[in-house]
Amino acid sequence: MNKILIIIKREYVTRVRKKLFIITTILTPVGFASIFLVQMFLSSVSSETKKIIVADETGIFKNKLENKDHLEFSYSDIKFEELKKQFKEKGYSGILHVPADFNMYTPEGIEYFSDEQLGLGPQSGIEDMLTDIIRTDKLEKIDISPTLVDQLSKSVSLNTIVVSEQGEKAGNTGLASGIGFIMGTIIYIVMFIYGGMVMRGVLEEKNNRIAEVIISSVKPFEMMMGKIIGIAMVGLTQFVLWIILIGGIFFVLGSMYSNQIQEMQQAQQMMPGGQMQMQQQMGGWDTYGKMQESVSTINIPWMVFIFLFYFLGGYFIYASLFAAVGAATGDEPDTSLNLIITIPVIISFFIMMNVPNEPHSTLAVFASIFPLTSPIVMAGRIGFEPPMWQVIASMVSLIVGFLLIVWMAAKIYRTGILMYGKKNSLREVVKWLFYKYN
Amino acid sequence: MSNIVELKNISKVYLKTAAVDDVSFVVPAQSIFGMLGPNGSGKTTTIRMITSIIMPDNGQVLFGNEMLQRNHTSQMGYMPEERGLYKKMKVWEQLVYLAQLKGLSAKDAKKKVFEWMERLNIKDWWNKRVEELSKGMGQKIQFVSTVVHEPKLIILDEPFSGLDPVNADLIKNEIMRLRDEGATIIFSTHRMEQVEEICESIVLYNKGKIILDGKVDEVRRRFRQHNFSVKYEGNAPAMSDFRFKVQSTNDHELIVKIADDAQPKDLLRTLINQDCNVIGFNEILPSLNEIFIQQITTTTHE
Repeated sequence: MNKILIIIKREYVTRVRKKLFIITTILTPVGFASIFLVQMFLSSVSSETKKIIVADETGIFKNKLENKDHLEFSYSDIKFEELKKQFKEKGYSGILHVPADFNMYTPEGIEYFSDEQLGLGPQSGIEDMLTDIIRTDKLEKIDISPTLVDQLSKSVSLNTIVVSEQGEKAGNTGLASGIGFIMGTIIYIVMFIYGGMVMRGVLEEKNNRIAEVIISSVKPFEMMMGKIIGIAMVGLTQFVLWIILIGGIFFVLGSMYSNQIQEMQQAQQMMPGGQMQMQQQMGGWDTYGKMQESVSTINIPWMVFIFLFYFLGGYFIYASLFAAVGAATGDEPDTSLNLIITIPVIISFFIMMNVPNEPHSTLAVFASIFPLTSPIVMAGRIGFEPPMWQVIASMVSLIVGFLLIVWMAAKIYRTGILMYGKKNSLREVVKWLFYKYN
Repeated sequence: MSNIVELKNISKVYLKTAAVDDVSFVVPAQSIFGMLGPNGSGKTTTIRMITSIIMPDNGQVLFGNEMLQRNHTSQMGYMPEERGLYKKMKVWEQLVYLAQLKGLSAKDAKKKVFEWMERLNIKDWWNKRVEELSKGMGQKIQFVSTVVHEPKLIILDEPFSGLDPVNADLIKNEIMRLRDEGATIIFSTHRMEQVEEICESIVLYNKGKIILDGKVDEVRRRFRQHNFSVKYEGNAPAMSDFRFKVQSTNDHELIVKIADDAQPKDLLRTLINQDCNVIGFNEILPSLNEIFIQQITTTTHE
């Protein structure tokens, strides 16, 4: 068996067998599932219907409030002062009091009377309903029909069309930024978690002094690449297991609690925060059909290819840099060298966050071609369909950058791994690049 | 094949300081060869060049009679001075892994590892993690990892440090046995008594250069002080001859230095003429330790 395969196998097996790996691999999806379950539990607790009695002294709102979202309204002509004493016994949870001097042009003075605080969601639900009723009333008074109002207040949604040589295609900003953000974030996390794992592995070998034993059997380059590839496979294993486990858990939960999920979605829509979120997520879509149409405009194999390309390219570049830092570091972790590597990663993450606002700014274009930032930034931009020449330039520069960085890292690695004890300054490390070995 | 390793004028410069400066020597096959010298004198750098960990800036390294190549390393076993094992790995897995990196198949590696563990009485630890073992135990594991693939050339850097006398003896006997079975052992150390005991030839390093080399007996003879020990019974002989200087007297023993223009037989003749009852007469050669210290101090002050 090839020696690099033996190294890959050891790096992979020793890590996958570790208790910590097994625990995090299993617990992460379980954690997701339990968050989901807790949310569902909470929504089922709060979903008991509130019966509200309306004491409307003006008559404006009579029989106009809709029973929805766990709110049920009844109307009463009994005096407010009387109701206050009785509502508990009659089984109502609160009184909505509209005083006689209520003026719809200066809409103040409506109160909700109860012995318990009204939740934020129901409160804004009631407020919205009251506002709507008054508005319709006011418009009718100046002879404008509600249908006209509806037509007037229709919001505009922009259909973005991307013009390319193949013709015109419907673009979608919301979806593009969503997918880009997810891909970029995954690559960002992978670089840190698994890059850090590579660095710790190198440090361990250096501090154990086993590096010297192994380097007397295999080339330093084989040793470094074996570790990097082995850990890449650990990462892929973990991802695949997570996808399977999360998918499995949600499938099971989904079929068990399909009713509750629907209710929960309704509850979420009612919450003011939730509503806003939903609107944002929906972007410019009006109908579900349109959303499906934009999903179908995305070329899924192309996206998967791009993701894997930048995922692996980014991982290999940063893992070799982390390996070099591990080798150059003395017995104690060297934060300054570490920082040099982490800064471009963090910068590229921030550039990626700004991509949805300006997907084709000069900075974004440059950062999606420069190999130290391109894995994250290009992943973020790809949904916005950058011109083909930029994608090709980015890929070529990633490959060239990858070869160059791995070559440099291997040189630093082979010198550093045998230098014990002292801390090496950046200047010394740079000198190692010019050492001749063969 | 007479020489297993031959170094021809090798040099290695690190950031303007010569770690090894124009060094040449040969290591005869099937021998135990000592590399001596103070810390930082270039021994480890030389070893790293023999094991292909680093390349010399100048000069050639021959292995057998071929130019040294990367794949020769599968015929070498190297135990560095700084011991290194994976702390979290099980003993047997670690040994099998290292043997596989030397080119053994998984099956062969396993078989040989268990044979060696039996031989060194460490079989009970096979399933322990290295971090659970004492330093001396770790040392024995490291020794197994160095020799398990039956290398032609075994390089040991301070192999006895940290071992108790019983285990040191065990390892020493294994080294001898491996030599008898055809292996060559290069020994890097600054413990002179061990070198005298087991090495056949040596080189002495100082400041990246070899200041002394040859067979152990021959080197000691080269630095002879012409001191002789005379053991006798009865009365002490009188040493009036100016050619014979008494260095010290012990109980029925004289240490006599013979001047350059005299021979040991002249001293014996003087003693016999005095009717002295000589029961022992032998030359006292300087120990390697004395030569080592003397040479290092003189070359350092030059």
